Amino acid sequence: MQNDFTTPLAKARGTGSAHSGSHHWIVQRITAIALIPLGLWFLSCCLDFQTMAYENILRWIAEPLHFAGFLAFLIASLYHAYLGMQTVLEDYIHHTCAKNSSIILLKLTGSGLFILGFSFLIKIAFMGR
Amino acid sequence: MNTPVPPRQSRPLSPHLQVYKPQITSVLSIIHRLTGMGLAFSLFFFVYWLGALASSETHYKQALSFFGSWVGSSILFLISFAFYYHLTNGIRHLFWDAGHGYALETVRKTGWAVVFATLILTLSTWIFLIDAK
Repeated sequence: MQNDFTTPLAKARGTGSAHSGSHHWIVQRITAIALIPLGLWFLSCCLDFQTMAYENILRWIAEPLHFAGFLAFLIASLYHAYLGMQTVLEDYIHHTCAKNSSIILLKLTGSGLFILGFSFLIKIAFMGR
Repeated sequence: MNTPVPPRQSRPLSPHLQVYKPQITSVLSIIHRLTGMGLAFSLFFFVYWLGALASSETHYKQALSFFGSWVGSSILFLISFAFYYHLTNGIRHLFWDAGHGYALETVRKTGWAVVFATLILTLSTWIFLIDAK
């Protein structure tokens, strides 16, 4: 008695469930909920920075809690964007090779943006001491 | 022995988007994807802005003059619109995920609420910005 409804052929082809879809879905929701306060907070920061001098912005971001908030926003927004873009690529690119390479490119771009953003934030924190 | 061969003609696939009547539900769903993609791309601008801040005051001023230019302000305007839309419609999605708001009438009402909230929030943000200058 099989309690898994994937046909043996589909299993051999590797088209059965990978049992990892719910993780993607859950993380997308967690980052979405986190981004409600983080996004609004970041937007209000941007509006405040309009009227602030360069040194004051550096000093403001260098405050431990503000720094942590910026880092949280960077991580949550990049991760959420990555998950969403992955879904879009999977939905609209049907050619397997093109799909997989574009997802690899997406991962590299997201990682690159994180490394850059994180480095810049650390530099700002030292400059604003 | 003749085994039946399935016909291999290319039939149009559901949901026939080219003949599908646009409805508030489908249009808002498509805009949610589009704004999400736009916001994902806008993270390049966020990291660019951080880089300018981390570099020097000269580079920061350069970034400001880009964001203050016609092209830059238009991009920022579109980002703010996408942000408010994706935020309010995202909250609508989270309620659906929790199992609420599926009645057709409710779906239509919350959809229009998202549209009006986005317009009001976007416009008031820009009125505030122009007023502060």
